[in-house]
Amino acid sequence: MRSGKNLRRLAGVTATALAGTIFFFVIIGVFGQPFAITGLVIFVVAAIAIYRGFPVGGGLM
Amino acid sequence: MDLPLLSALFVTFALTLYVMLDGFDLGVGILLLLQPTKNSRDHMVDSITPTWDGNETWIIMAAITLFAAFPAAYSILLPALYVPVIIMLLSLGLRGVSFEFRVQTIKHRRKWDMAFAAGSLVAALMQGVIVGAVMQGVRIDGTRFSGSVLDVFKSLPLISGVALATGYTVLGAGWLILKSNASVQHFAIRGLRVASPLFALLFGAACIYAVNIQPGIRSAWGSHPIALACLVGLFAVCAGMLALVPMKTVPVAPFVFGLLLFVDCLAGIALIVFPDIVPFRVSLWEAASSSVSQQFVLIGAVCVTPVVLGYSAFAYWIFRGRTPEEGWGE
Amino acid sequence: MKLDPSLLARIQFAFTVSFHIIFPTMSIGLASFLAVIEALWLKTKDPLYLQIYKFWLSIFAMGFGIGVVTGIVLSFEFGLAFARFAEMAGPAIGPMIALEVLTAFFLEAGFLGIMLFGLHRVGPKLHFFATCMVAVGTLISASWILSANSWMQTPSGVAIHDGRLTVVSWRDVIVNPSWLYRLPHMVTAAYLTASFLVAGVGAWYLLKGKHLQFARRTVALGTAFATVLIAGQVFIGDLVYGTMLKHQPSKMQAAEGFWEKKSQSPAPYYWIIVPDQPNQRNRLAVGIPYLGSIWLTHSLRGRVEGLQNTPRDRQPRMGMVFYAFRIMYGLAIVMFAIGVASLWLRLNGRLFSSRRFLWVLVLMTPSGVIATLAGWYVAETGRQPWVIYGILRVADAISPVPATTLLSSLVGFICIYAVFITAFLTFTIRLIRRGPAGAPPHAEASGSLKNAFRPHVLDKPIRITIGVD
Repeated sequence: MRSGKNLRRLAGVTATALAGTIFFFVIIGVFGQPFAITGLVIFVVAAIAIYRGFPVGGGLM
Repeated sequence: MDLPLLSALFVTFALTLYVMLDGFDLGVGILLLLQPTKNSRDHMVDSITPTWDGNETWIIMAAITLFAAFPAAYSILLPALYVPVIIMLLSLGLRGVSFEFRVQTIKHRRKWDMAFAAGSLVAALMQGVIVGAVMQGVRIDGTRFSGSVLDVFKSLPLISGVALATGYTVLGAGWLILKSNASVQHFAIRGLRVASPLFALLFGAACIYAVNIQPGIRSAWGSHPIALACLVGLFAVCAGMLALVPMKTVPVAPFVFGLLLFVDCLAGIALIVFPDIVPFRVSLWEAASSSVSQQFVLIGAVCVTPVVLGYSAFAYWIFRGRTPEEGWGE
Repeated sequence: MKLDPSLLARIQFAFTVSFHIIFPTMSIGLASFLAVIEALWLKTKDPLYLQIYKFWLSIFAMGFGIGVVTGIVLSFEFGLAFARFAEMAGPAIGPMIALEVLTAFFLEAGFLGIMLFGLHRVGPKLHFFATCMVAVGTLISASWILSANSWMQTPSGVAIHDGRLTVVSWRDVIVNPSWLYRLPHMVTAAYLTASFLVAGVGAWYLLKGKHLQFARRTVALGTAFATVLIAGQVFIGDLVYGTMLKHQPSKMQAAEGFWEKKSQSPAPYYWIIVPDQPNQRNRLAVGIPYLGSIWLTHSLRGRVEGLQNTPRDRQPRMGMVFYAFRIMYGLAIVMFAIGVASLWLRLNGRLFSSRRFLWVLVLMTPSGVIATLAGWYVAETGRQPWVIYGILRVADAISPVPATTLLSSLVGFICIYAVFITAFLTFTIRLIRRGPAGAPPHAEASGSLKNAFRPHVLDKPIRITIGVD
């Protein structure tokens, strides 16, 4: 159903925006250095995992 | 042999390499003004394209070594030479970017070639003006420049400007005789036949004029008459060889004699200026920074320069032989 | 009107160094990008990578050339316009820049010829080595010059005697308090610049429906790099902030727009201010409540220290530092959002089909350049009125050159540099319009890549020659 798909997409976008904002606050050190480093590492690892798991360019990623 | 002397030697070394290497680059640029055929112009620029950047870098080396080892001299000379240095920088800039921009267009390539040539010519003229102005002497008050920025526009700097531009043309022609195809070689030989006697004449005139107006030069002659006389003799020999040598059979000869001419001139200037760094005003030791700074530069220079010379020579070797007709294919 | 030589010298330096920094920023990023692309080509033998390499090589070459010649100007400009500074700082930063010339400039220049012109003259491995050497050269160059500039920001390792500087410890001069934070910040900025340049051009092609294979690969690569890099960059940025807060508090006080010694609690994060420096207050200040305390003091109610903590004769101009910082930081936030969005779109397989996202990428093409420039304005205007922080003021640093001469040279620079940037943009746009497909088929047919860029060759129909490799 179109509205179901739109709803799912809206939920996904909201969740992504929220996660992104949280990651931003964490990485710039609002919650302290140890969290910042951890947050950065998790973010980068997740990004790389997405590149590997969902390749789009036709090449290595 | 103390640190300031070693640093001064390195400055001289860098300056010598600059003049020898960018000298022929600028000379080729000047000759571009006289070359009516588009394909030949392309060919001439192609001959210097792969290595020009490294060549030009030696002037930065000389200026920065001055900055590091003789900051007082750097801070006196640059304001004194403000006008010719600025014009030189703008011209070198125009020349440098023209390398990259001229190949991007066919319709406007001639305009970029003219910019290239004009930039080369003006840069060469300004470098000569700088040499002449420095030999003429700058007005100082302690370690401050105290003259006018217009002091450089007097006779000696102006003659020196034309002389140096002519000299670079000699080097450029020598390079082209070595590297280019038959028609450009022919063009270069004709250019050399005019430029080298002209250069000898102008340089001689500049020297005589300089001796007249700068007592420091006269006293230098008094201190090292034999050495300077030998250098003058060597100059005459090289100039003579440039006139006489069979250029088609020994294509490397004109270039080599041209380079020797310049090394000879630089040696003469160095001998005359020693022991000063701001000629006839401030000595090496007065202008030197502390030994800690000198050591840093010299250790770096001694360790790294051989490596630099090595891979620079390698780059020249990669692009050895006559410049291909179709250019570099990129 | 009486012209002030001090002001003219500063404007001239600001103009020449701002213009210059645009190009090494692109060059550092693109050089490493090209090295990665060439490595991928050598490893996978996928001709698309060669196509990407050759396309970006032309743009890189133009930018590099402008960077070199505008950089030479700076080596002389220390002495030309700021002779007192040169005389004083020469012993400390002179040797560093001398080593930069020796270890970096020569390296780049030496191998650039092979990189640009040697593809058909040397084997692929040697050519790749040349590309790598140019990339390494740009990084070494960045290291030395960042050390020199960082020393000006947070000087250490020197003793001052009668207005003369002697180096006491080279280790402390080079590894000064801010270098190791500002260097990764600048290098990452350069890499981000290249990433958005590459992604932006690719996105443009996707929107126009041209060069689709090239476009998809470069958008994928550009956004992938950008996402990881921006996360690292905001992390490093926070570290730089903390360091500068400690060693150059006046800069960060000016950057945040607060005047009072201790701001209100909780403190807002200002986005718009109209500062009134003579009266030490803001005529207008608009911001997001609580966010100032959160971001700047990492607490909900912390107070921020304002510019009045610095004596008036040592205060930088708040307007410049504040807005430069906001532009840089604002762009960083947008970049981060784009990175996160790109991850989301990848998960949905819509990275290349979301037109809105592609348009954002196109608009963000020059974002790295703008952010880097803004960041440098924070660094330099925030250090005022000092040229060597705490040691030498700008007003005491200038050359004995008359104002009219400075004005003439400033006009000269503006005119000539205008020619450079116009030509660069014209030719770059032309190269983008022509697209990457221009080069390879013609090159293979004619045996010369140089011919491939010549319009009359491109306009001819391709003649496929059997048997030509």
